[in-house]
Amino acid sequence: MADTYVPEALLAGIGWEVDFRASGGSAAWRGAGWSAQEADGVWSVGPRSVLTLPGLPKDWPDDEAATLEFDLSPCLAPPLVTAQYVSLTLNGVALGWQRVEGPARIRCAVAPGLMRAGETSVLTCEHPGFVRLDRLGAGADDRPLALRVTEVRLRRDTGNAVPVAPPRPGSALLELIPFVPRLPADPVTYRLGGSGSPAAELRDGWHVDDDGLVWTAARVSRLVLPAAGFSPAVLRIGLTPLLTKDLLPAQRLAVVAGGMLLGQFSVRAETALCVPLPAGVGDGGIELIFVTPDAVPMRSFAYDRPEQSLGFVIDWIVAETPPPRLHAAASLRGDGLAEAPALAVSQRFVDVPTAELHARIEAELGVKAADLMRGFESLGDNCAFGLAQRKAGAEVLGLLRFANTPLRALLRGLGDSFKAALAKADIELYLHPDGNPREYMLKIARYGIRWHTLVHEPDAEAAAVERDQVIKLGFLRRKFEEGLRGGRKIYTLVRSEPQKIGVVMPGFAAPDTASASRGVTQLMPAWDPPRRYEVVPPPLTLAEAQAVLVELNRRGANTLLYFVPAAPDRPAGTVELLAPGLMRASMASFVILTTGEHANDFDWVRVAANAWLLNKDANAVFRQ
Amino acid sequence: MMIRYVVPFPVMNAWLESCQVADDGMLDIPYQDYIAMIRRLLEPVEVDEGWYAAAYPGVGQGIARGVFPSATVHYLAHGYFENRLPFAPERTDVRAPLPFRDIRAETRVRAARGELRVVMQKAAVLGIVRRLLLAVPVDEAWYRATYKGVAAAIDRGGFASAVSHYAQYGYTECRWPFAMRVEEDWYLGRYPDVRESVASGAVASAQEHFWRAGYREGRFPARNSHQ
Repeated sequence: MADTYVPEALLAGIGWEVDFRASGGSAAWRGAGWSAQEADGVWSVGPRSVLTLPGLPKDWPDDEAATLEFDLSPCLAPPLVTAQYVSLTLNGVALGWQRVEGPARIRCAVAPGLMRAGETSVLTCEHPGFVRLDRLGAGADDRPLALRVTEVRLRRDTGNAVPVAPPRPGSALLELIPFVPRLPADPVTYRLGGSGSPAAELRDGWHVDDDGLVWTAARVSRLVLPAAGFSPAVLRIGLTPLLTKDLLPAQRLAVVAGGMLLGQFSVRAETALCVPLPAGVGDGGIELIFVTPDAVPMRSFAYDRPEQSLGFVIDWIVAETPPPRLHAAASLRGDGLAEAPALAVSQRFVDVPTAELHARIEAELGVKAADLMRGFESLGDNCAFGLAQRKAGAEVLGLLRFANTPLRALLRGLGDSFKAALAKADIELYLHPDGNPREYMLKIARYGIRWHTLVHEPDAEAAAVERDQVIKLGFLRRKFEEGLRGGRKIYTLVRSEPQKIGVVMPGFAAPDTASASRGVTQLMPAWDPPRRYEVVPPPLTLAEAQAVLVELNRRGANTLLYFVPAAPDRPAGTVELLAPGLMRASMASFVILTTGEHANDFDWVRVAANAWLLNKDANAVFRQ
Repeated sequence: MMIRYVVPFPVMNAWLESCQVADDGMLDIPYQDYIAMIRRLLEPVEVDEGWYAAAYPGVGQGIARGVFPSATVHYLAHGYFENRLPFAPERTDVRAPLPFRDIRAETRVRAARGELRVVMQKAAVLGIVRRLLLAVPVDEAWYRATYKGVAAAIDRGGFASAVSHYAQYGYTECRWPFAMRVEEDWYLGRYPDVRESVASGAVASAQEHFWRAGYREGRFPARNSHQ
């Protein structure tokens, strides 16, 4: 953008200017969320950028309003990404939002008293639609860019006495739009393909197969969601990527609505993603665009529809506005490309030797480790947290404590309040194929959830086990629902259950890379023993945790703690409060053995202690 | 020790039959298993480690940094499927495998949730198998010396070469394309029933067992390089 020309006559009306061009001196005012200086401005990077602004001039009357002006250009990738969303908060007061489709000057009124003479102010700029151009095939830039800022100025607002300086030709003049709170609304589930209502209107780039699965069938697939009758704050999308082990282990997916990028995901398994909708998107229906750069070109194969490029099966889309307590958590962009700093981080006890850990926790927190662990309830996806509780001396009742709950299965169960756990006809008892003696297992096919009974074949008759377990499951379900309504626990979510896959044909030179069809190993007894390998699942993403969090909060103010692998700046045991109600824990390993004591067992306790600390401090407001 | 080995036809056939979904021989195979089948058939292909690393510098750097243990592993895991060559194209003493793009173009697939599935007649899959087998480095002299009847047929002009016979018939007849040396101690330790047979004198050695029965039973002659 060229320099903004400010006529000499108008300078008298200007409180101050910060020039972001190379010739200016903006570095002193820039906080987090900015890229390096470039000739004609500075790019914001990630979802949030912060400026420390000069105070009002000393001669500024206390009762005089002001106008803040931003000269900026959005990062766009037409024809897909044609706008950026920007919202401003000054000294903790939300000023408003605007949609920016090109070079623009954004103006907003600053009420008297919001800024003070001689005191700096903090301006937070949210721009969740940042774009990784390289992932859209729109260049090589790998920075998550949103806005290039040229100038920020404060103008004395003296009515008509000082005319507004025009932005340069071709640059729009935009006033910030005040926020209107979005009212909570029940979810609306859009049908894709088949019958039912409301239905998503599939535009170009789709294929509905003979099984009724709805595929993205081009690099760009568009659909329209009819108006939901309210202004939705989030979309939750259930989808399954088309993958081939080794050759295509993940598919990228960009989701665009109203010309704004909602997320750029890398999807490695069937899942559900939560994408926040900026204000102004979705009030009258939503045009949703799925961009799938890794879609498989079917012309490479002998295939009936060679013109197609298949990427994802889209199973469902839900539009909703969660309760206000969740707005901050639900508005985070969860694709993992760039994140705003956590609200709070707790790393107590991460360096405490395991032999001293329990005693130190009790001494410093006044709570026994076992009691700490009782304050959590596992949502899965396996028994790891339940075992960690047991090892810490906490035996608690939990519906999903010893269950295998893939993410989509968990959402199905939460979505209908696990009613199937009360219906004997929906509960199936079977024997686990491995183990000697074999364990009785429970399954609810409607959800795709399996439970350990911890009862083995020689110890009881199947009919008796089934009778007892059905009663137990119903009881646990009732306790689970009471817990959700009570909102006293922190719910934990891990994804670590490995997928066990048989080897098709053992080979010599290549690593084991193939999965097996059912029964293959039995056909080839010469492979003694039948060989299997385990595929470690991808760690949970923020977008997936958000999808669960929203569902979890229908009945009460429930905090979710999800687990990810540790990183150099997040050693095992670290817990971050990402937003009220949403925490993230770091673990070195998710493996926990049923017997013996291992160093890794104690990381679960460290996590519990740090989550407990955050919950009674920074997260306390969420529970009120 | 790198040992060349071809997955035996009975193993291949048992797997294909397990994928059969109709009496007419129609197969329904997860695409990634089909890829695994191709990998198994490519295992005996010689990969020129030096040439490969030089011809594909990015891979060469990956090998140097330890990302890939060898050019052979890269070729089997990725290179072949990226249409890379295993050795210099001007070489005439070895035959490059059928390009993957050609196989893919003949591979009839359907899209299922989360995966592609190969839906083809067993005969069509075996046709692709045979064409891949043309890249197996058959030891012409050993093959002719070992299978005298085949040598006679080649001499009569029934087959162009040992490779040709092996790809057309030899593989399904469970013939060996080259001598496979058995690691005696490993074999006897891995297969206790063979150890008993050798101890009782029913077979003379692990090598003899592998020749007479072990190969077609799907046993390995030596430690798998990845075991």
